[in-house]
Amino acid sequence: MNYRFLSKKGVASFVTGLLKEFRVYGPVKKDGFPMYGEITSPDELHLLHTPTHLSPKHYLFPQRETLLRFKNGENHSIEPTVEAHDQALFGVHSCDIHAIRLMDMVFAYGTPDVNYLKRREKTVIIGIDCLPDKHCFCKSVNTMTVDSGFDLFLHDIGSGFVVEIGTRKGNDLLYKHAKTKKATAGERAKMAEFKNKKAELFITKINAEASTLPLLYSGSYFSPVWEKIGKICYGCGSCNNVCPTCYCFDVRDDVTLNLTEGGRYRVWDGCTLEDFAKVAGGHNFRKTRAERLRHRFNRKFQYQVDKFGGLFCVGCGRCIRTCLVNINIAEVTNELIEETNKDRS
Amino acid sequence: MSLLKRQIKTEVKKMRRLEDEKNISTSQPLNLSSSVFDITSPYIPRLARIERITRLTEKERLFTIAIEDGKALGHQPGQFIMLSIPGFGEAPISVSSPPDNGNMFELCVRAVGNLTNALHNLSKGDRIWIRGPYGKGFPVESLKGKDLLFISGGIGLVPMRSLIKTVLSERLSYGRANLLYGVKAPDEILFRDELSQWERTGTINIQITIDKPHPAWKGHTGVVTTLLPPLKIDETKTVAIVVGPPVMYKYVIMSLGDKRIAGHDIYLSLERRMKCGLGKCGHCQINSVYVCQEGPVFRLSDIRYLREAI
Amino acid sequence: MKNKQKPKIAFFSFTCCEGCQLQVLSCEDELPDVLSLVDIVNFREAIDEKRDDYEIAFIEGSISRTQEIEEIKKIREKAKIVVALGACSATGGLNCLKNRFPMEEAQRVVYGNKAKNSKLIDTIPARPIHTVIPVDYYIHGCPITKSEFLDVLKSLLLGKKPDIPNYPVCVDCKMAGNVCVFEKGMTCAGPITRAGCSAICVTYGCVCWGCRGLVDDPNITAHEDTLKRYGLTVDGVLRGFDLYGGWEKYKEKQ
Repeated sequence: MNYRFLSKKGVASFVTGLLKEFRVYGPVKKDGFPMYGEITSPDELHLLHTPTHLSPKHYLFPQRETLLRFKNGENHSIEPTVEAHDQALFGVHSCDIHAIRLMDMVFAYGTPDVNYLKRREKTVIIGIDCLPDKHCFCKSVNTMTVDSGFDLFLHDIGSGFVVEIGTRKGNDLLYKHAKTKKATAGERAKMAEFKNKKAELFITKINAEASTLPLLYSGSYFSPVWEKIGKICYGCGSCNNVCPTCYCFDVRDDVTLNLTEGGRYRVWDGCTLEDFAKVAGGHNFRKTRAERLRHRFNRKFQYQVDKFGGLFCVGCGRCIRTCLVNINIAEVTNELIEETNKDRS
Repeated sequence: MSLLKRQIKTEVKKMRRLEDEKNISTSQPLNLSSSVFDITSPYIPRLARIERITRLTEKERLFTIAIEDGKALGHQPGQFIMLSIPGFGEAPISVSSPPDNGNMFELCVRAVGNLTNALHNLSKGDRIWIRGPYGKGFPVESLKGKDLLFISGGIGLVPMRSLIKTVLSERLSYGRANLLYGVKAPDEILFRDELSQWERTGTINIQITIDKPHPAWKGHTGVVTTLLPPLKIDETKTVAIVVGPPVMYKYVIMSLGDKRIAGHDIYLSLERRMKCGLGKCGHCQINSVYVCQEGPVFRLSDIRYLREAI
Repeated sequence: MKNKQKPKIAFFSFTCCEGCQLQVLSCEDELPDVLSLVDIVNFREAIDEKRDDYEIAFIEGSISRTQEIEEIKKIREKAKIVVALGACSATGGLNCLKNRFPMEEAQRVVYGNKAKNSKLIDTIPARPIHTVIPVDYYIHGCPITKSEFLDVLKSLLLGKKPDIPNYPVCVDCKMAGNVCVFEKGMTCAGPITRAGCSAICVTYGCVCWGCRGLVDDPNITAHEDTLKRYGLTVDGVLRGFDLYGGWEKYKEKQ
């Protein structure tokens, strides 16, 4: 692995360089809170930030995207559409990079999803070190650090950044747009220092090894916890929408006012919303909020693990922050751990 | 605690094995090679036209569809397609005809939503879009030599018809065949003519039941499970195929248990909401199973312990 | 389509500010296309013509006078499809604030002491139109959003059921990329209010007042708890539901 040193001032000129080639999205302040947004100058970036309230998934999997356009009638036509442009995601945290890797798997397995993959191919990912806020628990799900899935990764060592090069594409961009020098052994050692310091800062934790969680969830299907949190849940879908690994969608049609032209588009959907599993005949396969929440939690810790191999919770803590009734995925997991231990002792 | 640890170890091993099987490693980044992008959008439909419309009941019609490119649909009994009418969206619909080399196939559709209502408003010659076939159908080959017990409720007969006609086309390869069919009212019986024709030829024994007594009905009344107890079957060589509304499965499965038919020998077709047919959109997911990929036809022994399946 | 006669539509308004009709009229870019698809035969705010051979009636406003009951019943008889246009019509809207007072008092405050004996200005508790006639579809909002009006119109012309969301405003709000109102120290009716507005109020720095009415299965208890947790008193919480939830509350009392 190749490491380069980039001064703090050098970051600005690097971003300016990127802006010539890409649409650049990065952490900015919105109403005083960290959010991702498109930037037009490096001054807009707020790099040393706690997690953004929304994940950057919409740059790869937009809230709404057209899959095909059509014309009906005599001049019948169907045009598949892929809306993708060259883009750089700047300042992505390790949890979100893990999440993007999971999304890559989801959209590539079986029948590949061209819309996602094309956009992914045109995306450069530049990661950055971060510090946890009170909701983060990436350490508990082994996503505190990341060793691939990025083109470049910026490690803050105080005097500047050690840039970890992940891909050739990243390497070329760095050499083209930034003045860097080889990182010294001392500078690289500081990376580890940062990591050790970070590891001490977590307030939210899961009290078990990550590898034990699929089994824990499988054994907790009938836990009273689900009724308890189902009672206070709004079913508002916010946890789905802020989650970097929630990817369920609905497909709908839209026509223009001549009623013969239109498009088929997909739009985010959420498994905690009332109508998610309802069929045309009216039967709802997950009628209650408790059932829907249980499904969501299990998707993160068990179901998708069976399908794709990795935990689908990356510990970003966003669903904890967004939940108005304080349903806390880490706390719920801890409750399940406690229940399970009690049952066995 | 040590018990928990041991269980966890087995679970981790199981997970690793699963990973290997699926050839998906968590530690390696995905290879986004350019070949991936050469494929076309999986959402592009094939064009088809309505050849014939037959009114079956008040709510159901049978549509004969011709694929415009002249090629066969290439489906297996029990599989479904994503049907769409531009402007009205897409929905999963079971194929009702048996596999055929020609470019024609049949869909029997009940008008219940926007898309299916719009389909009912179309006429002969109108265009529709199709994708698929998708999913896993009935295991036609492994049914050979077995006695077949078809149990169907309401529009459950639609996908089952594809299988029954397949069986009838090669009747000597299978053992005895019984069809138990339950509907709410006499005017909801589907494929009336075909049923009586099958019956006349004597190749399949058919019993129909109506949920509640009805002035126009002289036959058996009661839910479909009431037909089972008097039925003589050889449990050692009978395979049951069950398709019906969600509420029916639990009771039919219990009755089949009374008949000593093994879960291994029972096949069901599950209905779920579907938006993509590609194992992505999440709507049809039951635990870790995507019905559009691993179903809609399942062997009971594979899903008996799958929570939320039945 | 060309040879077929164009469907005829009409707009009517009862007790309201007519702001929703104004929204329809402000679809300036789309109106020419709309007029190529339909004939508008009755629209007091826009045209002089008044015919009653319409198929689709868009009805704005709530019912708050005895006379209106008769009028709207006549519209129902003539129209094949009735669409409630906007909050007043769909949920009773702001007008239901009146229902907190005795009707005599409301009448006196608005029309003066002499009003009591006038038949023309009698007043009854304000109510959504579905309490008086059967309604086929609802376009929510105060005011309605243009795009939703056009979507519903297109759906009806295609012969399909309009797709009105049954999820809370939170979904629209997250998709719009907003910081949560509660995060900013304010409170909001979004978590129990029907979406479809693209969370326009929150996007422009306000909060959701619940103008689109409740979702099918709102968790009201959870919302009361949330509001209390964010510092509202019981009274404050109740008042939070008043602005657009007046009819629901009035109904409960009866």
